[in-house]
Amino acid sequence: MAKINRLLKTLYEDPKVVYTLLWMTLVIPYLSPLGLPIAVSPRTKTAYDTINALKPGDVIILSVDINAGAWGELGAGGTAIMRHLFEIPGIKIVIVNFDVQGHIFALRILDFIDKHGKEYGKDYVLLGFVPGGKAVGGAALASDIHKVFQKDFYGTDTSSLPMMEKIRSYKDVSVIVDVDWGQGTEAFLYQWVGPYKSKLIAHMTSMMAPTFEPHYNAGNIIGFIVGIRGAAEYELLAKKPGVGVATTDALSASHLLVVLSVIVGNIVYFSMKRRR
Amino acid sequence: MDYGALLALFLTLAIFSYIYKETVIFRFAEHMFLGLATAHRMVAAYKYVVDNAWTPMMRGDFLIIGGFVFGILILLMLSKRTEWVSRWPLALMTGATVGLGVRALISVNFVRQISATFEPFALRLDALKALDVVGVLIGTVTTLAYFTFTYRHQGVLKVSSRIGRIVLMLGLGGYFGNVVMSRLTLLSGRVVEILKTLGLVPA
Amino acid sequence: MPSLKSREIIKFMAAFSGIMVIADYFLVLPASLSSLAKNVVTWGLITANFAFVLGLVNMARLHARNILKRVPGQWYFSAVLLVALIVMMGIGIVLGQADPNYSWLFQNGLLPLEGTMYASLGFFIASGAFRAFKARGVDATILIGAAIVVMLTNAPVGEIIWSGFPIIGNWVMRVPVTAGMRGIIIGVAVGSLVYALRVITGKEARYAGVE
Repeated sequence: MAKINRLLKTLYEDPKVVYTLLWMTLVIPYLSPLGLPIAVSPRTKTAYDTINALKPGDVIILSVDINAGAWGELGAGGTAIMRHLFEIPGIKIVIVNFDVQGHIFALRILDFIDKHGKEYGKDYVLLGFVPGGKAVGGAALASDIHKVFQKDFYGTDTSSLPMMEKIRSYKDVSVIVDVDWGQGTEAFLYQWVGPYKSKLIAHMTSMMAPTFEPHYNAGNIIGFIVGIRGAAEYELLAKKPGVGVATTDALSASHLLVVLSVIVGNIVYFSMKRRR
Repeated sequence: MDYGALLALFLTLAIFSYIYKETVIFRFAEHMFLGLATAHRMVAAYKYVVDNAWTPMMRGDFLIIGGFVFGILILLMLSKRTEWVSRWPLALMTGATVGLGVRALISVNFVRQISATFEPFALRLDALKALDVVGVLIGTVTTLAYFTFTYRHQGVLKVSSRIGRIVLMLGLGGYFGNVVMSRLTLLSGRVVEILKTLGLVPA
Repeated sequence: MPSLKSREIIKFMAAFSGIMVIADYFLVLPASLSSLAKNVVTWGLITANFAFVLGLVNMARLHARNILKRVPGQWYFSAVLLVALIVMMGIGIVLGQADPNYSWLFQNGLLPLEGTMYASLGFFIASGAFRAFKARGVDATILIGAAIVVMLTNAPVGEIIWSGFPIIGNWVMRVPVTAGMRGIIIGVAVGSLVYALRVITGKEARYAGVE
């Protein structure tokens, strides 16, 4: 009993032991996958079904607001969503970003996925960064896309791109798909959904999800893919398991460690308190 | 030999070294991060100004000159003698931002949130969904009661603010659970990159 | 006639731009006024980008001073910072963001650095959960309980341990989280509206360093 108490006290006072245990819970499941089952939530299913129901001629604003800090959580879902969008024939995809790094990750995903014959300028465009943040940039984009983006990311005049001839403002957009750590979703919520009742699907980090839960429940966000768990569900729905599904095993092991840490930490605390 | 991947591995481990101790390698990586991040932000700003302000102005959209004027005025903040001039563009930006915010706040954060709380009462719902709807209504009202500091918390307000506090504790607990998932996912993402570079998992 | 430095001019500019933007949305303005309102928004965008230069200049000044004065234990780190800044900015401005060299620096320099900075917090959450997350009272116990249930809902292993975790966890997200966040959102909206009115009516000018 005394040995256990000494061990627990060491754990309590030296965090490096917890760090090492955390490394193990993250590394081992990748080297030896557990293959735990994943149930699909209704909110991810709604997002998938909405995108699946898109028809030729529909215009999608795809906002890739991933930064280096969020790539680990949004990369898998962003890839799964973009892959799905490019599989749907006839839709037009306008890619923008409210985060300065977003276009770089959009390009990274575009290089990786199969474009199914979609041509740049005719079926998809990368316009780039919308500065000014959620209030100024979002509002300007809704009222006149050409005024905000006189040139696309590559420096070509936006008006010279064939598909952009008929895409000028919120009126021409069928759905907004926002892969975001939080910045762009607010822009679309406040400057598109609020004033113009645009349709919004959001894939965001699990940290930001509670903030937008009321908006999802209020119907402002119609499809909601949350974190890497949501990405794994989307990959399963699209029948293309990838990084999302592979990460859930490490997620399970590390979450168990954190839960056990809370429980054991409280046991140690209360037993030390009682002894005093 | 992929030198890029090796550099990425070195920088990743340099930052992770902080967990055990602040080292010279960590400080080197930290300063490199600051330099690269600032550079990236500046490049994005430059590109925007050239593509969407300078080019249209050269093509004859002269009203955009106003933006350049205010932009240069805000740079005058760098000198104490001319600092007072930079307040004008700050005032312009604040007014515009506040105006745009008001447009959205009223409909999305206020009307829509309140109507979403009451709308489900007009629908036919099963018993469980109805309980949820009542729960959200009670939770929302009591949370607002908790944050009401205009009146002393006594009587009905005291009871409702206590319930609101419990709702907030549940809500913040849920929020923390999601924060944990978020951070651990980011961590596992970096672990995967390390394992890929070392060849322990397929690329 | 107020002097150019006066507070009235600052308050008038904030009020003018705020009212123009609000009026353009809620009213049908003549074309010239509507165009002016949209230009006010555009000027705000351009000004925001110029403002980043302020941060750049301050940072460059500080670290250049460290190098020139050879501040012990710091000057070589400042040199690393400035070299990284100049190289990446130079490539980005001269060759463009689509250039492979810029992309290489981003993917192999900035991405691992920033990603790892954020990822490191996972370690502190794990050790914090062990050392700081204590059930000291009823409220803390409720918070910890909700956190554990949601964590086990998010992780697929939770359903395997007990099928009730996802049911309770989803209820927590659907009801208390929604209700709590909704209350906070409405409260923040009221506060923001009040602030907006104060700015537009000129009662608030501290954003410009004016009382």
